[in-house]
Amino acid sequence: MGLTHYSILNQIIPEAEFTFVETNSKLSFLLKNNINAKFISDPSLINSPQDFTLVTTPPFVHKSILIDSIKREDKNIFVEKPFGGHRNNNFDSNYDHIFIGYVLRFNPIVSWIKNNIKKNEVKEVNASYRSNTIEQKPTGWRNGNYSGVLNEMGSHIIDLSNYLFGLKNFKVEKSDIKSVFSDVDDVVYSKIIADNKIFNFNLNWVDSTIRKPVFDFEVILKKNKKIVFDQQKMEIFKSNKLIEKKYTVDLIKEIPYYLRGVDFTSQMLDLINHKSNLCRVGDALLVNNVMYKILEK
Amino acid sequence: MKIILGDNQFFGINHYDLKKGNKSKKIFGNTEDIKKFIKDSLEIGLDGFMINSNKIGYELISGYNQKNNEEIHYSVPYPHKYASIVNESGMLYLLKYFIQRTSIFVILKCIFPYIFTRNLKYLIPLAVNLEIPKNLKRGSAVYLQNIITDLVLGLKKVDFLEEFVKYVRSKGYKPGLITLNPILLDKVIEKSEILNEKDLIICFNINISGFNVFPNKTDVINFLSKNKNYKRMGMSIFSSGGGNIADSISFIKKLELDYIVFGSSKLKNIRSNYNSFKT
Repeated sequence: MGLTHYSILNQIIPEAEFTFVETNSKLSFLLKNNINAKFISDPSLINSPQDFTLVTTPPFVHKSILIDSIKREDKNIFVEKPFGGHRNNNFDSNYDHIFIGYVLRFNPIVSWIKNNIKKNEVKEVNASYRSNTIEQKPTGWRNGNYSGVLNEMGSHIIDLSNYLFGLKNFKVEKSDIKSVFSDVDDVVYSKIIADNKIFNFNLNWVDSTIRKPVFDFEVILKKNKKIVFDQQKMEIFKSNKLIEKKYTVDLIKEIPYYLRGVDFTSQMLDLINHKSNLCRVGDALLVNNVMYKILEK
Repeated sequence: MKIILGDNQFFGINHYDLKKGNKSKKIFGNTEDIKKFIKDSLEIGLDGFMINSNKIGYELISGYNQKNNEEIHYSVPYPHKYASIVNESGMLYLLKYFIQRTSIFVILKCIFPYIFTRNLKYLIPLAVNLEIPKNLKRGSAVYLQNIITDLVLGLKKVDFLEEFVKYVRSKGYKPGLITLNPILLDKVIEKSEILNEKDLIICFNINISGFNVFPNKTDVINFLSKNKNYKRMGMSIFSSGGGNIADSISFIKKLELDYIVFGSSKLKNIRSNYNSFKT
């Protein structure tokens, strides 16, 4: 539905006009008197190019909506991650007006790592994502091939690994996939080698000990250095001795409107302004390829 | 300025350091541990405590004997519960979830205005009713969590907030709104006769570091320098554990706040902070 994105854009763009394309007639019936926007059920009713199109649907329809949007010559197109899911491996990566919603790129700690750690210093990356998202068997598309912890949560970790440390020329060495509640992947472990760097991914979205989703990275660097970071804190060690640490409190970011974290507003501000950190098609396809190889291994 | 015990330590929430949060959660293994900590904190002199309507919070309030001078500040909803329902079964199932758990009388009262107008504000009592334990004493404050308040601000649907406030008042409670956007919310309150009342409390982040203070610290300090009809509560006053305590207290004491809320997993910290605020 994209309510978070709508709310942010509704606050940060003065006098914007919105159109919701909602094909679920029941949902449309429930919501349309509550949102100050035009509601339509058939996207072909939009004839003129839009300034911004946001595709915030489940991933199995990302590609068809995107193709219509390109044909309509929309000026900026934002597609939620994971860009059509792990089976979408084919798309023209030359489009420079298509952006994919890997929102963790906008976390202040991630920005610090991006600006301060060089890719060629990295030897090994151990990354995890844990949440308690699924507590019983999901219904609908969330119990199918477009869902699972890898597509929905792991894609973030893979994108961050590529964005911060580089995953080009990757090879999946090992993967271990378990279903707990759903019929797809609920727990995933994978070992990947990319340009002589080792990546170990541990993903679990059925961890009942977790209240709020958490990611963490341990990055082994050359010269006996190591960085450990999550969404709130980062620590640098040299020969196992802590030499520097930073918290989000040290990296204060001003935003005009807050909803669900600084990251979401920063992402929308980047979309309407500089477009400097948003994920682009080539990187999103790489993430999909990595996921495909993990699941097919 | 009244001092209220926060609840983050009970549920492992720490916006500064995730690991610290997990450690504090382990200290409070069950409802009785939390009750004891609250009792000890109130004996130090704190005016009351805040608690969320999650499973533990709901249970705790359901079996709590409130003393006359104690204030309970209760926040609804527990967002994770509803996020899980939407994740697993979709948005429409959420409506079914509320209806299945609500009395016929309340359903009829809400459903007809909703059918005529299709305005979701009429369904607010369905959700709020499920979240407030019957045992919560009249006169307590019931807050709307920031995830909802701030979403509504983004939707620019002020009538949702008004309906929440009206419903909470009709149940005999004081209404509260938690927000991370106090200045945007203030603009909305100033234009609404329903919201702009003395019994309303708005709760927002303010701290010396400017950590999670939006849009920025300077604007929020300026906002606090103006007199308001409603009450203001400062939260995250120690920058979620990331600020110098003495400097933080000295900064907060200069502000025109009606309430402050803070927590700690250690009683000695609660005592020492309380004493510093009172001297």
